[in-house]
Amino acid sequence: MTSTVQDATNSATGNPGPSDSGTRTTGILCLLGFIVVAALAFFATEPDDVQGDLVRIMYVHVPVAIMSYVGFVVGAIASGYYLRKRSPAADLVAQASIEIGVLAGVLTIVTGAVWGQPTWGTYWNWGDVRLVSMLVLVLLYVGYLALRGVGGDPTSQARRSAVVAILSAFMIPIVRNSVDWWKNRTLHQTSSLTDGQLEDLTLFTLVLSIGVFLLFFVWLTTKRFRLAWLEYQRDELGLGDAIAQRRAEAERGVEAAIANPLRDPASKGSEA
Amino acid sequence: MFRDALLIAGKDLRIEARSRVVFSQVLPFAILALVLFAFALDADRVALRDFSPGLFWVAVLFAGLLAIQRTTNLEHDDSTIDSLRLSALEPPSIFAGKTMAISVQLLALQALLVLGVLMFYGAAIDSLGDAALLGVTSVVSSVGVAAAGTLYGALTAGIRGRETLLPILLLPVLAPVLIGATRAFDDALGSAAVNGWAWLALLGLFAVVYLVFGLLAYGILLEES
Amino acid sequence: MSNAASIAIAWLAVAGVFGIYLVSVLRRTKAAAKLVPADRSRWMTTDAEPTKGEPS
Repeated sequence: MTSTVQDATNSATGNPGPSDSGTRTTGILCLLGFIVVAALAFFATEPDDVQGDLVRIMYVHVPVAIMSYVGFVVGAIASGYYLRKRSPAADLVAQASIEIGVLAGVLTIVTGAVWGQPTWGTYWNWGDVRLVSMLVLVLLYVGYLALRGVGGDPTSQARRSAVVAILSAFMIPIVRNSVDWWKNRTLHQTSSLTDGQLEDLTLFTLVLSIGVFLLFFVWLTTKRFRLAWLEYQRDELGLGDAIAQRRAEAERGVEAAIANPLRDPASKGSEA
Repeated sequence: MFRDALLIAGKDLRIEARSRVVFSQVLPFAILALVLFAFALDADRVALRDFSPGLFWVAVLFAGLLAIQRTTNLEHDDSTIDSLRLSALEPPSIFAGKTMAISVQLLALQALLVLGVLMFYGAAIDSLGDAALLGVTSVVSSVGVAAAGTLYGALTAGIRGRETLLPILLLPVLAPVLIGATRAFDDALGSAAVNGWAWLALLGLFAVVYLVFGLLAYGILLEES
Repeated sequence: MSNAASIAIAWLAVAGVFGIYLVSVLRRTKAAAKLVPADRSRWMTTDAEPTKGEPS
């Protein structure tokens, strides 16, 4: 069975590496994808008729925006699964994907503002519904991350966080529509994907970029989940077990431990 | 369930009435906010009148946060929530009761603040229709804010740093209420030509969403503890 | 700000933020992996019956 093989390799190396073949392949695909997207975005595609070269920002702006929403939605789905099955892993998936969603949301705002300065003559435009609602949503999810950061009993924290993640996902359409009605006008490019104004290669580059960023989201979430899982296990094992574990490792340098038995736990404490 | 909810609401409001914290701290805080806004806007009569709906709602939200924090801490500080559950009260009833209690407090707060903006900012209610819009907006928003507040209050109850956590969680959630209620008040107080009644749909939707979620999720949040 | 600078900032911001985040995640993973025994360090293998396939 694969699990046995996995265990065997892990104990053989003593220290499980941060990667396995599946995620490694995904990672390499992402890297290649980014190179192709960058090459297309900077060398192959033509400047836009209206926006000129600034259209090249779109190749990262639109994908990170989509990535952010995907992160929020995946987080809500994982949270719903957590509340049904109470599986700690689902809670950690929610944490990983929302954290990445927030990061992507911040990048959406930054790239949007950087695009807005030369285009509108100002970094921020309150009339732009998508940017304003993204800002509100990012703040909403920053609250989620803050809630996760307080510590305390892990089960009750997972439960609270799951409820917040689900509520926040329901806020997405409410926030977007209320901001839309608030201004009732948008200076944003009406969805460039669907209005058929883009040239073929531009459209292809954009779609490819969205695909690569989504793959990257999967890969990054996996990495982040793996970290969250290790930290969860570490906390589950408790400090005592962790120290025992480290002691067993330290037995390779036996003489040092025998010479000064107090030094060992003390150094552990400062690292924890 | 409704009787239980009334019972809880009555209990909370009695506690508030006896401790007088809402009257001696939350209401003065709201008035203070109105005064500070006047300083911030350089006491410009025109600006204050034009922006009075928005300033009013910001003051309501900030002062409301204090009231929400108090009402949730009431239960969780002395673990009276456990006693409530032991007395066979269902979580949805507790949620509904606390929402009612906070709504009533928010309405009292708004009544005072409306007088404040009329007096200090020179806002004016011109017709009976405007007064009705004002009243309905207040009631619907209060229910929405109270439902969300009760839910998020329970979420942050009993954890470290809840005083700072509740605002950062709740205020972005209340942003749509601020938008909707401000627009409705814009119409009622005549500071912008919008159809205020249309905005009630947004406020109503918000209130319904959070009432439903609260009734469903409150039990999850009260589990064990 | 010139168009070229805007484009560069946008792309570098995306690359930089994700890059720094990834490095920090990998470093923290390495640190945490040292504290967790190998048989519990993977979600897939930890959830499967804990005693099975354990070399002892």
